[in-house]
Amino acid sequence: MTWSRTHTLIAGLALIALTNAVALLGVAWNRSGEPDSELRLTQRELAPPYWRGTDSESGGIELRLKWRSLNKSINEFSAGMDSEWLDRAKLAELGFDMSRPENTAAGQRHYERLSSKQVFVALEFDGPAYQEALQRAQRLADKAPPKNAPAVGINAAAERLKREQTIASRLFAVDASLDPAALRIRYPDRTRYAIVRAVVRVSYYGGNAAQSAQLTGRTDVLNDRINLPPEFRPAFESLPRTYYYNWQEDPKSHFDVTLAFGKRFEPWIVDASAGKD
Amino acid sequence: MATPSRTEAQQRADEIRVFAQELERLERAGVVALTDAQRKAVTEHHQGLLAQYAQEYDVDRDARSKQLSLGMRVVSFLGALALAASVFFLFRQFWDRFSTLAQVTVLIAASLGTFVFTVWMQGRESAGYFTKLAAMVAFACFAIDIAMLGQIFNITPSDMALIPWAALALLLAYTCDLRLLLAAGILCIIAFIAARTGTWGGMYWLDFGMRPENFFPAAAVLFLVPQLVPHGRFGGFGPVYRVFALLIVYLPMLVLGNWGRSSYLDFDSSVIEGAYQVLGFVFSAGAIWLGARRQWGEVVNTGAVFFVIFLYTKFYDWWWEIMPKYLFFLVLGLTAVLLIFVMRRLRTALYAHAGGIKS
Repeated sequence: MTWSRTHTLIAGLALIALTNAVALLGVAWNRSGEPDSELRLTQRELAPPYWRGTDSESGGIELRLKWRSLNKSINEFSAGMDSEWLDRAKLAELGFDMSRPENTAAGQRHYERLSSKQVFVALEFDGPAYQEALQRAQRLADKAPPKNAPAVGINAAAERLKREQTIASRLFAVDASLDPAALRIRYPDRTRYAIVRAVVRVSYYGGNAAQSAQLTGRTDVLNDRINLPPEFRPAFESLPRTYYYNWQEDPKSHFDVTLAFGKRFEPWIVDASAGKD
Repeated sequence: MATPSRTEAQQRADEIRVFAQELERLERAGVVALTDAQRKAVTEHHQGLLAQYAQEYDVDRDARSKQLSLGMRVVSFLGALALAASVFFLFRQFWDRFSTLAQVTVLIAASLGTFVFTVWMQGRESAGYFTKLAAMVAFACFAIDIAMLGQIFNITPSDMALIPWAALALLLAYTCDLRLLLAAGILCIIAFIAARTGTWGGMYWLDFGMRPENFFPAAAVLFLVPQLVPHGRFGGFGPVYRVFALLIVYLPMLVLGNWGRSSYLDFDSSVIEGAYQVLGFVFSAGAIWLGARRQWGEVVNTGAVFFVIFLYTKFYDWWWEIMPKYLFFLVLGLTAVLLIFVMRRLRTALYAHAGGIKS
């Protein structure tokens, strides 16, 4: 059989149509029925991109999901680093071989070579993890500050407490599993806990004479950039065109967004409106 | 006789031109003398072929028109890039003014429309400059279509998107005899096989670049394609497969030869680095030998380039710190001279082996 232009035409059109159909059917499947979870978030948990104000050809608006983990630094900006719950036992549960001692050359070689894993993570909104972060910030503010501690600015204890109460994200990664159904059993409240796809990596920090080697897990949530459908754009028209670290304090930048997660754990915006406060 | 591709027709036209020049020289030197009838028969045959090729494929009949064609190909390539960029920025500029339904419709219609236009254009243009331009825009539209559907609906990134991209790039490449899209299709295949290899190794697919060994299965597949699938009408495609296959053997070996920690192998880094350095020399020398034997110029050249890179990397490790710089570069230069001698000897030996005259 000689390959003709008609064959090319049919093959190409079928390929384009089939690919688009598969993608769109996947979207329809994800959004069909009751969402797996639905969270009501605000500007504290969703941020427009920083460059939006300077790029007039930026296309649509994407909101970045701002999530955190409880960690030693009580730093609201360290999203997936040093999560307290992502310890050695949890990493082993996620399928990482954590059986080797880390303070040997063979152990170092082993942990540096561990591959990343795709897992499911439970994100908790305004729950016990956020309350714990608030209490820690309060304790820090109540303590007598060390001699060299800054009295003002973003690192001052009082400022941290204020940010924790008014600006910082209340969305915390609290658990992970290879099985999303197991996570849902542990966290059944679908208005407080969203299950999302994420990637976990093991980080190895070599030890020295003063300190032994450190093993920590690092989490990256997939789909953390969420497209704002054009019909909700009016709610974001009054957003400031430039951003700084406490831009959320400006009442003009307040908004409410209802974010749903579907059967494939992919998010979409169900509703969005300008904030009331 | 099977219908030749445009590349083959151009090659034949070039050979006719060279033959005519050489025949003229031979006749002037008195080596050969054709009768008027023979000369007329040869000339008429060649002119008939050239007229047919010019009509069907718009081939270049002389060196000047060939140079002009090269310029047109460059302009066509730059035009395609500019048009693809224009499509992308057009979408960005007006994107948020459309409803979601309109966005999806525009994306799919752009993919389908540019593809149909490419096939239509191919039936009407013998030289193929505008067809190639349209083919690249059609591929860009399809790539943007799938990528932006992912963005609009927050679809989890998947390596499966690489399959339709590769399929359309290859379909257009083989239809329009376009090596640039062949390269695009090959890159998608490389990424897909490497990602799958990484996934089978347990890692998240987008991290496939963290383990350079993930590229080796793709290299084997690409090297075998032109051997197993006859590419008679697509003379220039086999070398593209082979060059990409070699690149994704040598580049990972170069990385592993200097950064053994990125290997899957659970050995000491220095052992892995040493092993891959040796393998780099063996594979590049093997490519030079195989390329010379099978008359694959691109394989010889790629092998030679990487043999020198592996050698210079080793020299750097050994001597950069301890040698005066003038001596270091002198050693590099002398090594290059030595390699030229070795490759000349190899070429002479292979030529003699093939029954040619020893130079």
